[in-house]
Amino acid sequence: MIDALSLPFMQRALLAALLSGLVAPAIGTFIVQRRMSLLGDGLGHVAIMGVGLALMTGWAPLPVAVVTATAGAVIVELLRQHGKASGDLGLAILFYGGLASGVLMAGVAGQGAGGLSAYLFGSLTSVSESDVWIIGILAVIILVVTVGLAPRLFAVSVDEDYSRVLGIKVRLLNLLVVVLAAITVTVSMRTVGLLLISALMVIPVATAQQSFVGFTASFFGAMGLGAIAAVGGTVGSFYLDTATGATIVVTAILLLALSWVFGRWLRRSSRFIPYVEDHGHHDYHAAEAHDDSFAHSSGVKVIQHGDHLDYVHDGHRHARHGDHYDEH
Amino acid sequence: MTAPDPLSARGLYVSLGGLPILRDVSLSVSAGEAVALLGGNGSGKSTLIRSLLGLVPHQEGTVELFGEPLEAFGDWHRIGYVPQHSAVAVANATVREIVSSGRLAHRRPFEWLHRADHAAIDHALELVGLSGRAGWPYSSLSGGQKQRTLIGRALASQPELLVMDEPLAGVDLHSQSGLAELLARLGGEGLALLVVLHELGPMEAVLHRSVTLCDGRTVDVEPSGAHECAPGEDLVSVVGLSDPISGTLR
Repeated sequence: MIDALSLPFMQRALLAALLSGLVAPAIGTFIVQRRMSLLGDGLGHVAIMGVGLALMTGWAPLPVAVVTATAGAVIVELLRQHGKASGDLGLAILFYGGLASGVLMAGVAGQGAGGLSAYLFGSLTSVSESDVWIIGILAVIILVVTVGLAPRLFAVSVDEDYSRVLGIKVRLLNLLVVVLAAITVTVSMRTVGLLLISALMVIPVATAQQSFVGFTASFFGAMGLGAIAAVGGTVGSFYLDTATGATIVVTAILLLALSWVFGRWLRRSSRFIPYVEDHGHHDYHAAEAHDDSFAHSSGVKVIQHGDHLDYVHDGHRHARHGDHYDEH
Repeated sequence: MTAPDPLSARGLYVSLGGLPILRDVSLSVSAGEAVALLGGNGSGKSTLIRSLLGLVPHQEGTVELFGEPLEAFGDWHRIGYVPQHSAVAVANATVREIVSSGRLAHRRPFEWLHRADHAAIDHALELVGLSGRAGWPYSSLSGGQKQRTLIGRALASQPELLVMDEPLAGVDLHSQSGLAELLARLGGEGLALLVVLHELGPMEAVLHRSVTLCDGRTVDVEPSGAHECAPGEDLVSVVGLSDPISGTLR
């Protein structure tokens, strides 16, 4: 770990990965809530066009990719907002057109698919010092906007109509989310890569929703999990000599698997007992002979019923009431 | 000079996708008044409240909120909108987080919650009887509790007019009377109510008067609540075409 950190290219790669790991799940939270989990993947394809254009013209790849992906994001959102029936088809043409033209332009530049692969799957050695500056500035802007507007973005993702009646500019915020997603995708192309960045926008969010209760906890939890996966994957790829992006994504998936396994024990939602309001009079049935261990046996569903707990078994609710049991 | 009505619409025409939905509808709700908006499926009730709130554009007529034309209205915190709980998709949020959204009408972008916001959220949770469940995930609630959460969210902005879309839909009978009691209490505190309802049910005691929509027009209704509706009759006659016993068309 010490020797890895002493290498300047490794320091730059780790910093870039950490920023991607924080930013991607932050904006990803709202992408997932809007059920557009694959948006990042499509925007990655459009960014490839920018990289191809940069390779052909000799411009710096990062700024060109930011511009093309942002333009792609605006087109996607406008198609969606206008509810075009052909929107789905339009997206497919945009995404594959971006991928094909990017590969084509890279070929014209004499780079072929090999020159592109560092951008597609991430590469530790490719992060230059000017890249780190651009990535840092863009990541800070995205973080400030996303965290600062989180309550509004949350309200819009839960209920667009209600948000409009609150006077929130819903269309503007929706446009902002996809533009920020486009910038996130391009900022991450050196570390995670354009084909895999979408995974870092989605998987930590899924893990956090498994592990935390509430929007705020999941939002910041996802950012933490993303940072762990990004830094862990970057260090792992250094020692294993593997593609950085692939290692980061596999790490994120391992975290998701862990949350599933431990979720069985930690499943917080089981603490939240369904509630039935007390409706007063109940028929009284002769109590069955049970001891309290019954209530704790597995497979018995617990319901809070007015002021006491019912235990559902054999199709009816069973409640301890003083020295006897009621069967509801 | 008296304060303008919270809600006043005159001669409203709305069509969606070229299909006329509302024709010459006028409706007003004065301060402290509780009004029911009744009508069958497809009568235009939901479209009417959506156009009153600016969620659906109207082609003709005027809508005024607190004396201001809808297009120029900016005091959105004076209005609390309560959609049907089935229309709200929440992946992972607590009751308190959802109620907190109601405060956004008072806050600028990038502004964090102040003490007054927290107090208003606590008060709203208390009003709807969910203080004990503030930290619970919304998805674990019953239909009645979800509806109460959404009412709490609307109350958090401290509105003067509450607009509700079928608050009793998907709510069990016992919770329905609880909701009616809650609305009666809010009405008693001077809140104006406009409630879309399928049938009056337990809400009858809460409401001052009702407006019935029929095929996109307001119709006169006898005090008993019974009314004749042309498209409803059409529907009956269409059903009457088939013989339920033999299952064949007459």
